[in-house]
Amino acid sequence: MKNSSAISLRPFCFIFPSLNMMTTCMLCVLVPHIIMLFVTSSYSSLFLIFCSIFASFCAETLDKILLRKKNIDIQISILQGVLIGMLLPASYPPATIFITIVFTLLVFKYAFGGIAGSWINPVAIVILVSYCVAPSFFPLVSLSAEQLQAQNTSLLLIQDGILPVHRFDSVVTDFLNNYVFSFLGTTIPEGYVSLLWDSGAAIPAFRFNLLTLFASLVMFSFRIIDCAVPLFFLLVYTVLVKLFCPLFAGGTIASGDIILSLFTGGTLFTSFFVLPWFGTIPLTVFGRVVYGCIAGVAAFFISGYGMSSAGSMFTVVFANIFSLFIQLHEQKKSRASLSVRNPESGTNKDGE
Amino acid sequence: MKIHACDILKYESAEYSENLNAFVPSQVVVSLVQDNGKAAVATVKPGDVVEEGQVVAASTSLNSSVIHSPVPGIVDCFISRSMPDGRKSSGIKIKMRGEFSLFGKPKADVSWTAFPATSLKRLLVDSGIVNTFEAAFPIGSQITSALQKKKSPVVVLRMFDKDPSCFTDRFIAKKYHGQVIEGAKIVAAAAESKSIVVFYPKNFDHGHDERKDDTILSVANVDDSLYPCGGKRELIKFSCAKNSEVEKLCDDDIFLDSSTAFSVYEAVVKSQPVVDKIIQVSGNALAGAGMIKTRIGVSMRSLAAEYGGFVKAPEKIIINGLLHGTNISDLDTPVTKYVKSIFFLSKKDLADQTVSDCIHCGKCRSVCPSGLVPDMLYAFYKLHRDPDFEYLNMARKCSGCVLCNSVCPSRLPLSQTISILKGLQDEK
Repeated sequence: MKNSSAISLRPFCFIFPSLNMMTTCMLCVLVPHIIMLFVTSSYSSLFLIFCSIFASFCAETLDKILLRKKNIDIQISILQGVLIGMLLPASYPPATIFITIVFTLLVFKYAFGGIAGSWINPVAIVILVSYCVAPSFFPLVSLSAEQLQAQNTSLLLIQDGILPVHRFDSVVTDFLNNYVFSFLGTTIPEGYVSLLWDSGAAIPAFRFNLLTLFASLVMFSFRIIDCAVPLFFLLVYTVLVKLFCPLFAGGTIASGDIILSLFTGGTLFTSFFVLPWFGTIPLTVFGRVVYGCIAGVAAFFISGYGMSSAGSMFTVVFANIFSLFIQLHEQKKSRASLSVRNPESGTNKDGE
Repeated sequence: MKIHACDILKYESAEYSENLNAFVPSQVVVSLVQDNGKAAVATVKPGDVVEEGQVVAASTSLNSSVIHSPVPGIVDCFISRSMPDGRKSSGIKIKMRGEFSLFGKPKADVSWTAFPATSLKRLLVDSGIVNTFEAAFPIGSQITSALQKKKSPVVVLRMFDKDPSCFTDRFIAKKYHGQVIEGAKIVAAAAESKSIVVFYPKNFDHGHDERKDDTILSVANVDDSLYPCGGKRELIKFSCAKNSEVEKLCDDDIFLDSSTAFSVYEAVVKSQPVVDKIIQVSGNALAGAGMIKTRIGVSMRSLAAEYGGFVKAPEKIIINGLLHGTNISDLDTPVTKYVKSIFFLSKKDLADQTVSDCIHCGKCRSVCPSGLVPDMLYAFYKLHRDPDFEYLNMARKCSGCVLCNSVCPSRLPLSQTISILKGLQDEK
């Protein structure tokens, strides 16, 4: 047996995966997205992602050189780079994003410290800074009031050609309608499968919704992310969209299109990969539920029906600000409970 | 958040029904540190012929346990070796030779009921019994200390293991149930105790209701599928619960595990000092696994050989449980009185223990059964800030269950930090 000089402390079995395992898992579930970008010849997006990864790594290295840390968090820096790259539009200038990422992340690391030192999501901030620097690169999709008043806005957009329909869509749709949905007494129109598989958005993170859903299943199964925040975020957002979104366009209550709001605008990707970022969410279950609900309400007012290219990031930053107050409240509460709590019963003769 | 034992252990728990008897070793290394106290002083020198059960070392303190030779033979030399507690200490190397005076010899049972308490206590000390309920302490000094604090301390007997990865106490409780109960009664007599509380795990079938025969005994069933459940604090808390069937316990009572009670029985009734132990040997690096009765001083290497040797290279040897145990690296480390289980882990079994920065996930707070805030205590210590009084006082409530460590994704040494803070608080 090799005489290991590394001392490891108890325990030797764990309930939750390590941070290394978590980031590795998150990177692994993003690999299918990267592969799909390659398959769909989205080389500019791929180049942006690699630029972002390089920039993130440079920021991490510079931080180490400036003697802030002894070790480089390679996996975290790669993960941040991938997320940033996937949330940027394909046409964004690589040089601009490189400088933006290095500068923003370096400022964040200096101001807040390590992985979870910042209460505001650095990925979201980078995207917002990029948006402020060059907003013209973020695609703007405007919908008419008539389109929003329709019961099924997404179907209208599919029929108008705004949302693409892939060649395999009809075959898959027919199969699902004949063998799956027929048991439920319902059918889905052509175009929904395309929306789920590849929505054709300019921003890579908004495109492959089915892969995002599979990724979320993997992450929940392996306890990589907490389910409270995404669950309540999506729940509140979709309920508000369903009930109230058409009212703003003169439509009727409870006729909003959930499909459009969920599968465009990066709602799913943001809820699973960006919103529950380390250090930005409250520590208690109740706090996370509140945080998720606030994020859902924010998403409703900021992103609205969906299809917003930067709305989800504004939502994240808005929610993070509230998260700070929730965390402060949690800290205050835990401190107050320490002062009030009596020692446990079963005391020794000194009454301790 | 309640944690189940199956959440912690990724593999199915084994139920052993029989134990192997280990081969008699050709040589043993008897550590001079057999408990948490100071090292004992050897009473033999190289070249001396010793008998099985002969005293080879004793502590200077009156109530500390003595150490006996587990085999007959010749004292070869004194050597320094790493021990199961992770520290290096001296040991007496004895080469086996000659006839066994205890092993395999039938003996009449001793009727101990007529012995006065002081004689029983002396017998327990002279037999070298170490209480392995939590940290290893000589039983004699524990009884003395308990009698000083409380007139008639309650004897508490736990029939299962504190660490969910270990099954030694449960095995001994099941196989030697009568002997364990009698051992507890002997300790009660030595401590002039009027009551014994026995904690059984849920669904434990011992086929006998002690309550019918004995008014001194009271029995409670603990749900051992939840963790933590077997520590001192948890048992005290259980006894203090509203609908508890047993009397209220406190820190000053005497807590035993079934291994210790069985050793007491063997020492008093069978007149055999502590020269052997029943321990659990397992791990994916080994060809087999099970319970084995082995002599004190036998090396880990020999025990691995008893189970067919290694099928994979062992990366870590864990003594006394995957949650509370110690990691040793030397296969020649000898078995001591406080060893209850040995795990030989292969590389595949090793969890990632890379320490990272705290990610403020809050998991440690949600699992802590004492309601502590381990991440804040760790932050105070790491930043070399003096923790506020409330937080320092909080550290004292830690029961050492290491659940905070086991849920931390950053693998921070939370439990160890809290122990350090406890020590700082005690110093103040």
